[in-house]
Amino acid sequence: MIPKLWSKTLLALGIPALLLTSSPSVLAQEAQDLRWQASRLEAEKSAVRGVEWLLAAQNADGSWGGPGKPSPSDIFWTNPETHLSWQVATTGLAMTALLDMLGQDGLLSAAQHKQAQASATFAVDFLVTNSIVKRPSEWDTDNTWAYVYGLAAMTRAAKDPLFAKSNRAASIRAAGIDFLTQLMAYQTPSGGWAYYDMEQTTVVPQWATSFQTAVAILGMLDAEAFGWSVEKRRIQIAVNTLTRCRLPDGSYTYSVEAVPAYDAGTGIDNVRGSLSRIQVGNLALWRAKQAGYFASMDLPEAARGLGLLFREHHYLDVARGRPMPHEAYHYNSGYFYFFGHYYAGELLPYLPAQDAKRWAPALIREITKTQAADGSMFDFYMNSYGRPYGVAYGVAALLRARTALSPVYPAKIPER
Amino acid sequence: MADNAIPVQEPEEHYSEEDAAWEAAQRRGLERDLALAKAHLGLLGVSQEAELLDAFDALESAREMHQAFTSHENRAETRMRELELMEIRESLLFAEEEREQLGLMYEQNGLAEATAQLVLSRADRQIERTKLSLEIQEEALEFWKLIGSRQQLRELEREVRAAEMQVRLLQATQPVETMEAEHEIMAIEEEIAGMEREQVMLMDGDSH
Repeated sequence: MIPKLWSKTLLALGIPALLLTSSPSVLAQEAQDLRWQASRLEAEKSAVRGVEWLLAAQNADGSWGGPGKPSPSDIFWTNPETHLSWQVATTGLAMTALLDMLGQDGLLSAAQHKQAQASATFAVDFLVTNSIVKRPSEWDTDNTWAYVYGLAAMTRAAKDPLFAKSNRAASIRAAGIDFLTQLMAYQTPSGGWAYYDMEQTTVVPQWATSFQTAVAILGMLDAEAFGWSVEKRRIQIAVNTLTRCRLPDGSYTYSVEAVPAYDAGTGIDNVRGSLSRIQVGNLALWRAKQAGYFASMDLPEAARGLGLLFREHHYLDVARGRPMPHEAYHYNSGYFYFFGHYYAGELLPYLPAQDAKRWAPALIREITKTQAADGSMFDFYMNSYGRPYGVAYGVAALLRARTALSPVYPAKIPER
Repeated sequence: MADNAIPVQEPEEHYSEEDAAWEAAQRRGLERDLALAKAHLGLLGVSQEAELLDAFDALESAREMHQAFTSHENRAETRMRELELMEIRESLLFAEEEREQLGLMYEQNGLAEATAQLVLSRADRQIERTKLSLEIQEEALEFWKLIGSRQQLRELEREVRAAEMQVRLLQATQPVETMEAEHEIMAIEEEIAGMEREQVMLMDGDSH
């Protein structure tokens, strides 16, 4: 029996009268569907605002971000090649977000759709023109960020209907192979990648991190799936390297260590310091396993990793927006925020529907709450890159979550 | 003719007003010296008491340090040095394990061999440095047990003895200082008395 007040509320929400006579379990499901629907609408609205911001923020040369507006910690060490590296990476992410949005049905107006297509095309042209990125200095190897996200962007563009059969297809492929070739040249003897040459200062650096290695694996898997030549052995080595970083509590060490160890107390190498690394690490291992590589990861474990992200999310909240790297508890940095949420979104399509739908609303909530009045999203002061990469990561994750909350999920997951 | 010579008459002594003024000034000077000497004697008593107090404090402190060392610090210092030794041993163990794991990882991967060789070579040198550090620390511990701790104990014993001697020295010298000050007062008083006697005699001479 449904109380009269509830009946009126449900009717006001547009619940069919038939439901008023349904069982409590059916009603609970309907209420759940309504919550998902509301969350989905929130994601759509936020993603569109984010895309509007991206479209307005694109540079005259087709890129996003730049050396302007440095924070105190930015102005002392970067050089023009560092900025080119970051511009390429940021532009790759922004272009990916735009293509993701263009792949959604009916979110953009016709005019916006056209503008987004033009913007993505302009971005592709920038990336193709700047596919050779040099090492900024003996210590600074931020060029690796250009390689991983340049490669990811080119594989994304290569399979997108906007470019797949366009006259840009050949140059996209060539640029993608450029990024891939340079990336392979920076694979460290430990099998991974990182963005500084911490100790040795060698042509091929020695330091490697779990999370950049995971991003590189994803790019190489995409490239391989697309038919670009990647040495399987090199991918397997990278997968082994990432596996080496995985600790028994489900976290990943920050650096690739010869002797990996759990950090007790307030260290970074545990779950609370690894919330964003867990998502990209689990995704890379799962996708490598699916692609036939020897890797240990299953979907319940990946879903558990998502659960850890939201259970301990306050550690990322505390870090977001702080100007100094690693200044928050467990050495969390502001820039972990959107990176982690982006790969949480990337995981959703692989999860069983109940897991994807369980975590998608949380993901939407944690992203939309960061959106500023102008539509931007921000987690770290890093010249003028913070907002474009924040929005790009955020929009892409929102769209993944939106798809997961589709009533017909998982039937209509767009292929990536 | 010398006997018939008229003797030269010495002028008679005359206690003039000028003499009286001079005597009065002299006396005032002596009275000020006397007052100053008495004040010094008073200060000397206070400062001697303070010095003695400091000396007793220093002695007590030296005895406490000696007692703490023999009862606790000697053992604690030894244990601290043993802990440092243990940490260096573990550092060496870790460096060797890490070197082994790096070697295995690099060998399996077969990537960037020049970098790998450089890293391994530096890891080898790190092991050598840690071994040397371990040897130095072992020697330092042995030295501490055999000589260092005894040296420190003797140093503390010397400090106790020095503090005791300082107390005794003060106890011996302070009465002398007091006597010297009292003697100075007495001397001034005697000088004043002498001056008074002389003045009376001169005045008596004038009256005849």
